[in-house]
Amino acid sequence: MNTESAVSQRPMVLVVDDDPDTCEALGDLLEHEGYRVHTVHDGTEAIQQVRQLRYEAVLLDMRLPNLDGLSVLKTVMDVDPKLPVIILTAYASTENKVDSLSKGAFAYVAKPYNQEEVTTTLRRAIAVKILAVKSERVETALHESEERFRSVVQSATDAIVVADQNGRILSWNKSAQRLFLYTEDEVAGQSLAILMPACHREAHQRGVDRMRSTGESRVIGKTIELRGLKKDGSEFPLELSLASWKTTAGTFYSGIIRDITERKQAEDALRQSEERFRQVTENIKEVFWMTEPEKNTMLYVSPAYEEIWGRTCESLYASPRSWLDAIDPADRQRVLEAALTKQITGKYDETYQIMRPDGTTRWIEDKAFPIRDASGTVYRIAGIATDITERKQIQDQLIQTEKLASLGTLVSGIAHEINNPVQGILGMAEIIQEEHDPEKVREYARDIAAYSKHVATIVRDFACYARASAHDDATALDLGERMTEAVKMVRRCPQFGRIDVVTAFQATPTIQARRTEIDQVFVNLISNAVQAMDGAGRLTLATRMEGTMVIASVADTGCGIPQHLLSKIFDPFFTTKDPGKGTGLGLSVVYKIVTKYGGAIGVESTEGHGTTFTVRLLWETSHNGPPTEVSHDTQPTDCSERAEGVRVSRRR
Amino acid sequence: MLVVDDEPAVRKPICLSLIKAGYEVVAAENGAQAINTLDSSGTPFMADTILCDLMMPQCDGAQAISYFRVRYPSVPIVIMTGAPDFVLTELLRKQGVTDYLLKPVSEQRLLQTIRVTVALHALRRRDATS
Repeated sequence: MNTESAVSQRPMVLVVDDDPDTCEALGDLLEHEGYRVHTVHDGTEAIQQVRQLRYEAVLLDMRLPNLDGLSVLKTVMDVDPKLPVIILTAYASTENKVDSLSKGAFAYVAKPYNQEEVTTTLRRAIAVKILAVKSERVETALHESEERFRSVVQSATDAIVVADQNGRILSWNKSAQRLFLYTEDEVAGQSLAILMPACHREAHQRGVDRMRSTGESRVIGKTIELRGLKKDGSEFPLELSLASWKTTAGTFYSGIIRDITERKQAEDALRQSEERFRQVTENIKEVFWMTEPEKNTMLYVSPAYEEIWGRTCESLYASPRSWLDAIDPADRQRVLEAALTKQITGKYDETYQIMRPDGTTRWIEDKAFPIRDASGTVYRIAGIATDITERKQIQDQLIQTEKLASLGTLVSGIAHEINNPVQGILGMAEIIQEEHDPEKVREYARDIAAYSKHVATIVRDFACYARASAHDDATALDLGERMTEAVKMVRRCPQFGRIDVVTAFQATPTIQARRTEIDQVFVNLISNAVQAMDGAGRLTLATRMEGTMVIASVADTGCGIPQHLLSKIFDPFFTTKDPGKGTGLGLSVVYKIVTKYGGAIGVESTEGHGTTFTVRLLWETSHNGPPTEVSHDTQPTDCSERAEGVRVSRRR
Repeated sequence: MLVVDDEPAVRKPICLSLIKAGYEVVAAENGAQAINTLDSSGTPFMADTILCDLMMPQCDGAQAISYFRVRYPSVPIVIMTGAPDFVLTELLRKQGVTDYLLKPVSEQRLLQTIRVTVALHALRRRDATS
């Protein structure tokens, strides 16, 4: 193998001569010189060999049988133009020489040949051939590279411009033409200055001069933004990346130019959008905030925070949970827990009271929603905290106003109730004046005292209900007890008629709320029930426990509410009553009160059969102990009809 | 005199005043009892005046009055009420209620109203028989 490959690496030479002696002699000589030699004796064979094998050179006799030497030479040149052919001939004439050389022969060696001349000529021929092949390869590679470069440049979406050291344009691609609207012919040799508006030209010229004199440049190798000038005179924003290189012919510049009109527009739009966002968030009265889900980093808080919380935004960025410091310590844990668990699900909607450093308090309604990335993972929480102090005051006022309105309906009942004992007092007092029997006088005086006490009781009951809520702090309330009190109030209304009251109060924990507000809930619900029953029916009041909630229900056997109105009944000013009979605020106030305490109210109704309102309120958890159960059997009360388990009571 | 009121504090002084003024008085606690009393008394003209409360359990004043007006159309009715309800009062006046008294009512006003009503009733009865 080694020998074989060593043999194959030796240059191959074809000797063509009809004289076997010459062939042998040349073969020996060239083998000795390190060539591999094939010998053939006529032109046809020679052409066959050249077609089949790659020779480095051919030694060709001019006088051959079949084909003459010149024909062979011509055919060989056609097959492989770079194959050097050395002519060997005894018929040396200048004419022959010129003829063969003009047909492509490499050299001409006369017979009888000089060995030295043959080997030297052959070496030179082979060297020249190798050089020619190499040169051809380089040329091809260069050509390919240029072609590649040209196609890249031409097909580039960016404009590519090449200029000389004087800033004259040398090359110009299709994108440049598309961008500047000049053809390559129009700009060739022109100054780069035609591509820029007047404002840039002076600086451009200084840059070109400086580069030429000192080799320094402020823009080479950088990407800069400028304005470009089109052939039609319009300007546009562009981004320019400039490079330079030096050759013996001087310095050249290449610039890659990109039209950034759209990018600028997008940037402008983004900036405007950011500006708008900033204007909105910095001017709204609500606090807009954004955090990471872990709540350890405050990404943004709008300046309204300073206004509402009375603390700086910087302090919140520095300590992202410091907004909680303003909340009453008893309430802080609840809000923090809600923030950590509900914000990520979008269910965070908390109301809390904060105290500002100056000692004033504000009510805050804080809502949040999660922001998800493309994969659906929550990576930010955005929220809005609103100062609802005024709204809350108005709400409280509304509740108070509605209470006065419902008081109005109760007044006629109260008047009736109170005027009966007053009638007794007046009547007995008048009779006593003319009564002479001391025994009778004493009896009537006792009557008067009893009637007076009755008046006092009614007045006290009424005062309990009407008491201003300002002096009414949240206390532990038993819902069964409150319903019993409420029914006592409503019972005095003329419309109560002959309604049976059924109570089914289970032992339930107390709730924490203002008594007047809870009373108002039940007075309103029971009044509605009574009105729905139009003087006859059964009113069922019940309480029970369900998980963390105490449930109180008020059921009537009245006219019911049409299904299509059920969704509207809690809206303010929605009423089905005749004008003057109701404010339309009753149920909306009930709804506000119940939700204010984190509770819920539901309604079920069948037209013609009755309606059931269900109030759900959280039982008292503020003491962290087991819920306080109220025993309805032993609870002392000034209520005349305490419920004991389930019982049916009837008016008198 | 038929006095109908569910409240003893009203019944007692009214009855005492009427008795003292010389009327024969029968009291009832509610509308149903009043109807029973009238129906069992045997004579449709037993009562010269019915003095009736408006708001009572069982059968309230308005229902009782409607009944009286049908059954004993000639007996004058005076209603007593704790709260003035003008709509209802007007309605009852149209039904033939003679007068109404607003509680608390003084003895003087009570007796004066009853005197007028009884006199009126006597005139009507005389007209009816002649």
